Amino acid sequence: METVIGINFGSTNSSIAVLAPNGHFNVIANADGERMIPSVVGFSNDEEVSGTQALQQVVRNPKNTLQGFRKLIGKKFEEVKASSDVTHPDIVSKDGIPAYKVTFKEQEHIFTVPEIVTKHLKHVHEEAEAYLGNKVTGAVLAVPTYFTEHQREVLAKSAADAGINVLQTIKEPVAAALAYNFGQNPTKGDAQDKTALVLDMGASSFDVTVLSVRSGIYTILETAHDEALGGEAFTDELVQLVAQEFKKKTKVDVSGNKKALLKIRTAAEITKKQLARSASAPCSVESVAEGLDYHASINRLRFELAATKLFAKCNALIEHILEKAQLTAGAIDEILLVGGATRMPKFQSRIRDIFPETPMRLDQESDEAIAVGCAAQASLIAGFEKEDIAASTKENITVAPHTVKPIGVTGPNDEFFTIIPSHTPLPAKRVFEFGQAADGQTEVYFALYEGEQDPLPPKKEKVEKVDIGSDDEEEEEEEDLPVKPTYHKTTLLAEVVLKELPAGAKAGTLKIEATVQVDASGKTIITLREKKSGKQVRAESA
Amino acid sequence: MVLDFLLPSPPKSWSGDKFHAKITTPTKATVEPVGRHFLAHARRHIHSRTFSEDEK
Ligand SMILES: Nc1ncnc2c1ncn2[C@@H]1O[C@H](COP(=O)(O)OP(=O)(O)OP(=O)(O)O)[C@@H](O)[C@H]1O
Ligand SMILES: [Mg+2]
Repeated sequence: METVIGINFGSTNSSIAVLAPNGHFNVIANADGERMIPSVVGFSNDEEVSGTQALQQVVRNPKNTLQGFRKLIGKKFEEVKASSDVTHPDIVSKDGIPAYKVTFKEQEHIFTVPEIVTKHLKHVHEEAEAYLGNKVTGAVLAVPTYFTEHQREVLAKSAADAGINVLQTIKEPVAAALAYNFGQNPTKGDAQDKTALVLDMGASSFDVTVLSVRSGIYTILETAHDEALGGEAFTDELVQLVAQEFKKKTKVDVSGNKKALLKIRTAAEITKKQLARSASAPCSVESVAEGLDYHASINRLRFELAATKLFAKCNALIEHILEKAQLTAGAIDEILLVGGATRMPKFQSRIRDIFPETPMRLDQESDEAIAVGCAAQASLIAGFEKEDIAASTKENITVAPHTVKPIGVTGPNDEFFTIIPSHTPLPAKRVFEFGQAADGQTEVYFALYEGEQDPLPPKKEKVEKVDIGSDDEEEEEEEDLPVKPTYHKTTLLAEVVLKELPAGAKAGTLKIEATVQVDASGKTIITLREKKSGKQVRAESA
Repeated sequence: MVLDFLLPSPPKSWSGDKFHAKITTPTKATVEPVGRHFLAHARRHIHSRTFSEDEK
């Protein structure tokens, strides 16, 4: 029996998903019902601890609590900015790669980053087996889009050392798209050619990806990420806010006190998450400094105001990636939300400023989407030979020619209808159905064109709205909806006529199926077929 | 997909079925090796099958 899982090893949280007998994907919970396993490894006296247990000792034993090691995978020691202080473990070089110096069993120990990754993944793997009650035979792991081939290899090796049979590593936004089933059910009549914007805000970074799907196959068109824009940056704003209030109330300044700030941060993290669900939330820190406690209720609006700049930067990164991809907001068909921090209501409402009506998918728990997508891929390839999986990911298979311009037909008023969009991997095939225009018409004419996007209407100068949370509904001005891109014909590719159609048919009643195929070299084949009589004509380019 | 317009009779300019031009030269890009449809693509490639053979 094959039991395969999907593993999302995030820099802060890890999660595991598996295909359940009912056909749904379940995210595995541990004995305490937690679905997120903190990506933390800790050493306390003579015990090695993982996950939640390790995270719990961070305030008490920060020097021996290791977090954020995913970021260091495959890096050289010189490339790593080691911020070693009372609240961070010491990072040293071992054979040129970063390693942690910890005290364990009353002795100093050095563990390299891959060794720590192995310890963590071993814990994750054990949790999966404990939940499932049987051996896990294989796993698909997700990696960030910016991981190099070397980083992927180091991760795969660490996972193998943890006893995991790694079937494949796939990119995070691609895994998320699978979880959302984005464009995965094309039919003969509907190829589901669409473009998604995947927004993944985890703890340590904001990763944005433009992903196109053409007949079920994904191509990444553009990526961008900002490591200063993650959930942690938002927590930091709350920490500043609490520190300021604490100073106001007690006259004690904790701005240089790392231990006090760490305590506040642990509480602020919880408060921030609660603020996603309610308009205010408590924040309690015992013995912040000089034996003084902090207890208060924090208003969501205050937090959002403190984080205004961060929210603005998120939108700026999105505007930037659209520009880089030469896409308008209207060209995005769906927005897929990934990563725990995209739960912030203000994050979502600010995205709405750019995309007022684009469907925003929330049907997955955002921080579980990647694990679910990995599990979906794992179950798809579970029965395959490892060599075949490896062969399918080689460049000779994955690097494919893609169309540059849309191919389509024009309607009576010269409007362009796309049949095969740009960015379509070749070979490609699309099937469309048409009627005939006039009563008794016995010949139909089909002309195939290449198209070009119409110029966009000039951008209106945006008046920067100052968000002070006013409830002045009346003043709400009419939103300009982003324009869906339209196209016009540029090059006539081919003309084909289907003759001798059944006589005497009323306009629009004959069903003429047009098949357009483009092979890897760009050679194009057109077939027209009248469905009832089976009459057909075929033409192909040189 | 049924496009919501109807095919006309051949215009006067039509003088027999003909390919006038080739599509713009395709560019290389990487497709992501995930999902059912990619696997079908990989199989086609590995066994160098054409679409019509694959559908049989
Ligand atoms: N309800 C919530 N409201 C606000 N933030 C939240 C909420 N739930 C989770 N987060 C934030 O999401 C972040 C963790 O998200 P996630 O588990 O996706 O991260 P990750 O994948 O481990 O990190 P990264 O993607 O940076 O490697 C944390 O910063 C956490 O505070
Ligand atoms: Mg993440």
